[in-house]
Amino acid sequence: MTGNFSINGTELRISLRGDEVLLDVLRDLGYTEVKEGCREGACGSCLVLLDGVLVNSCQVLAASALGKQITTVKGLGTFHQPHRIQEAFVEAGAVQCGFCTPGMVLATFSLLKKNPRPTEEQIRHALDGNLCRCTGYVKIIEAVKLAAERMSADA
Amino acid sequence: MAEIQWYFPSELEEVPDILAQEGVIPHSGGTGILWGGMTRIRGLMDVGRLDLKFFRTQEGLIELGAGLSYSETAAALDSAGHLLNRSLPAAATEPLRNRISLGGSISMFPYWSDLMGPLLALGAELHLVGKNSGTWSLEEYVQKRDLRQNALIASVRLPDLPWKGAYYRFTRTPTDRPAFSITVLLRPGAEHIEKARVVVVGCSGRYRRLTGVEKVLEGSEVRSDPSELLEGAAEQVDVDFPARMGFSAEYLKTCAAVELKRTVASALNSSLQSRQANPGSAS
Repeated sequence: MTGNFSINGTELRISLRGDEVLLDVLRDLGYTEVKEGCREGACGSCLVLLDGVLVNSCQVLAASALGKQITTVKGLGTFHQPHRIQEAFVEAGAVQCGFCTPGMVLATFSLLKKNPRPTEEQIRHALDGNLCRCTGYVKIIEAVKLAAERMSADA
Repeated sequence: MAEIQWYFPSELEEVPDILAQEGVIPHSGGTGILWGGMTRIRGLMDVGRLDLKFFRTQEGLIELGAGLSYSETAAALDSAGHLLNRSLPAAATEPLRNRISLGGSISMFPYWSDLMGPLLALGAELHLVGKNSGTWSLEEYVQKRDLRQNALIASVRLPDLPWKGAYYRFTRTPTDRPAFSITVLLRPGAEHIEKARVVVVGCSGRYRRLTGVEKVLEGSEVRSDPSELLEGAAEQVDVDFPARMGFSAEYLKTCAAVELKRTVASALNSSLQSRQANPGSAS
């Protein structure tokens, strides 16, 4: 089957099999910032925003996403113009190997969009679908708090 | 494997003909389909273009569109302090809660479901479209295989009654699947508990309504020290479990009896607080 995706604002017409998951389609198209981890929806490394909603791309059949807006972490900011959340992750030292970081940043974006001033408990709940095997989460939670402060100050 | 055909109906009238085809099933969030494997599936009917994401309250009923995700359902019920608003935010993880739909979750009914216990206890009804169009009780839907075939769950209807309740899930970590869950609902009167519903999900046979425990609770006085009542309720717990998640069947059964007492105590406490806040009120 064929159909259109809008990925980070770019319209693409692609062909895909009916049983393909969004994760594979995105990575085949070169969006390798969407990481392949557990493929079970448990680790959060493949997170994307689908019409603005945070989802595990390994748990989304690609055909069901046709015609929708997909945002990967590169859709939030670039190396030269990073998003406030990406800056906060760097400044707080919340990145070690970096494999979980795209998912963490998108989960943070999703949280702060709904709740600009989350409590630590709300941050932990919002990141419950993201596993990090390096940092132990302390720096990540600090990064989310820092991003919330900066974004609230900007608003 | 043959190519899977996708269907994208925009009207409910299109659904029966699509689902009448062999091997075609509804697709909502898709998480259950991926978990169950796709080898027998010939076609998927995506419900995304149907109007199944609604929340209505009317004439003593809450009606939830079956396309609502767990997150959307919890948000819709937020102001009501509903039991589902306690169980659903505990299920799975944030991105999965954004994807798992009510209809998909009901049709799959895994043993770790955080939806089915509350729905069964609340006496939910389902509006089906397809081979068996109409309104059916959730218990019938679960028990009769024929009802589930070639059918789309369009909405879930819940009686909007003044229950006080508690929900417990037995897990190793907060984001774990529960090995079992317990739902306790009580309808307190001015002095006594008028109605009780107790449902265990994850036991042998997938779920069990503990009518023996309900009988002990119904008619009992709402007291500040319910220890005698709890002991009486625990004596009526008659439920078995299969070994799973590294737990033996016997261990799960022992834990279920202990946790049932605690969950009943929590529901009783909720009823007591309600009575103290509104003396003489039946809710």
